[in-house]
Amino acid sequence: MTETIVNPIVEQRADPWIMRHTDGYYYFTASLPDFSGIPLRRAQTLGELTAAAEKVVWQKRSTGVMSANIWAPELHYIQGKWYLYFAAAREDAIFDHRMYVLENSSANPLEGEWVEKGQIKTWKESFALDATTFEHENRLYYIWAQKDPEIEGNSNLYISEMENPWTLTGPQTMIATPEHTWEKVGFLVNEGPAVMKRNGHIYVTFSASATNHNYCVGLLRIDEKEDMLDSTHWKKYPQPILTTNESIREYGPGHNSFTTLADGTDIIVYHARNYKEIEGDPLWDPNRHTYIRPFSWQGDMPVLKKRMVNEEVTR
Amino acid sequence: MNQTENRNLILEQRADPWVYLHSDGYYYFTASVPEYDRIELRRATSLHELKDVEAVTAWVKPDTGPMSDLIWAPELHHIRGKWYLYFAAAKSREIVNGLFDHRMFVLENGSDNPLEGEWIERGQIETQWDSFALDATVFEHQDVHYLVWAQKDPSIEGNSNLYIASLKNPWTIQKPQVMLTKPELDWETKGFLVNEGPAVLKRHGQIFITYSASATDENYCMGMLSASEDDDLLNPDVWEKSLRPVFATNDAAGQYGPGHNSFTIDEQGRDVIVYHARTYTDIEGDPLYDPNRHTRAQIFTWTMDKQPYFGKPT
Repeated sequence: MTETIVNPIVEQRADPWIMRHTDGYYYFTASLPDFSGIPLRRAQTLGELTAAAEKVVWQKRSTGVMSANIWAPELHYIQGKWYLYFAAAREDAIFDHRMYVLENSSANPLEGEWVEKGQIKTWKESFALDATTFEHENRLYYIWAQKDPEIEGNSNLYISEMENPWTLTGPQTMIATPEHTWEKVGFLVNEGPAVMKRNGHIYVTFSASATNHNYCVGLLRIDEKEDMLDSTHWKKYPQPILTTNESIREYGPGHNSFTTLADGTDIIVYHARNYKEIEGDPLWDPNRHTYIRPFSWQGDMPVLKKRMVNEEVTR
Repeated sequence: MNQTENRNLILEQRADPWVYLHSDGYYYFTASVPEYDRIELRRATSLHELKDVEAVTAWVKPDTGPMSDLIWAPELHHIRGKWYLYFAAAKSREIVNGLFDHRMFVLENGSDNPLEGEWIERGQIETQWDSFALDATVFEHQDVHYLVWAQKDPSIEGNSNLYIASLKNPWTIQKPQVMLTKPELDWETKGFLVNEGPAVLKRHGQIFITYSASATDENYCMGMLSASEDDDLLNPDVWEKSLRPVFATNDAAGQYGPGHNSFTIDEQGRDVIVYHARTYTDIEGDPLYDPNRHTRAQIFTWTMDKQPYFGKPT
């Protein structure tokens, strides 16, 4: 069975997160253009996500914590429950984000109640965002972006083990900081980590530079047998794996996630704009759309298929 | 794995490795030799060149007397313009009340280059008890030199505990000595009750002392103490002890019983832990006479709450 994928698969959804669950559904969440809440939709194929009904399952508070700029939600299924990780600021400090998590014990996360489990506390109270989690050898890990006042730039990437889905435990270490030219255009940024286990390694993509056409995706990896917290084993690829491609009108691709097709084909999910010139702050330009592309592996290197437009894929 | 193996291996068959990067740009190296009969010194401008340079024998044990056997764990220090070698030695291999019978000794050399010149015996470091004592290390803090070492307290069960005292001169401590840690946690008491091999690291406003614990087989591992640099280092209450080992056997990489470390920085200024480990667990007879504790080194980093993070030996 095949279906036709039309990119972008979802318009005006940035920081897209797609996860394929054991119930056969692809679940989709992303940042809304007005950053007011957390949208969720599901469909049995990637192509059907385009028209699937969307429900805002959680809305920002009117004041105090979690009252402004709800960014980059991710849906995870951990030990039998659903969790939404997201970053939020306060209406009186709209860029001072912290990370929060919601829990839902329904079988279908579009139903049931989302319970606020609070802020995820890290080594310091500072700008923190873009949390993701993964399990490895029966341990639950958390990777996120955060500002270190001692390091120039906006954010670096950190890792910690989790005691439970809302609490970190043990040492916290930095696994990436903006260092290459392509990570430092406009702003010094490493953010939006996404985890993928392949080839005996754990790969983490991340997004770098300002969120205009300079935004791009870099790649880290570590041997799956190594200590995840030992930053000496995390290797950063010297070149980005996904950047602006004017010939196909995709500008500032980034903040990706990963999923697969029914036949196992690896899919990268990311946002991009289809124009370069932005009026005002890129953050308030609503046209970061969600794109998907298959990729394959050449040794240690993911090789993205060129642009996918109106293309048939195995459902 | 072979690549990793080669990268971290510094010298074969050298245990209790000590590396000191001096202001002259040389990495100085000494360690226990498998024969335990002498003190070797070598120097190179990088850690990896240490295996390519000729070792100089700085000192050979006499045939008889208190320094005539089991020369262990030498360390080279540069204190107020002179070089000092700290080491432990016994009068024989005889085991007395379940322990070897080491004491700590000091040699002095006034040359610029410690591979040259003459080493003068400054004698035994006298401590609170005439008992098994070893693994002396020295560090300076706020113009005071301190000695940290391992010793048997006749009233405490086990092989050795760690002690600190300030130094009146490089071979004389200011009494009383203060105990910093004793073997009490499960990972410190496997095979033998051991705390030994202290190594000092000063960073980020803190003073860390790593040490080695348990028997010198695959159970050997490292613990850590820490204090703030503003604390009174002679007050045992200021030292916080890690409840878990900070460095231990890594089966997946075939690195067993890592320990007896020292600290340095590599040519790029990155923090490096230097340690010994075996590549197998099947030791015939006493682990002490198995020569294959190899000197290894690897880069380490820091956690966000400013603790060193050594990872696993690889």
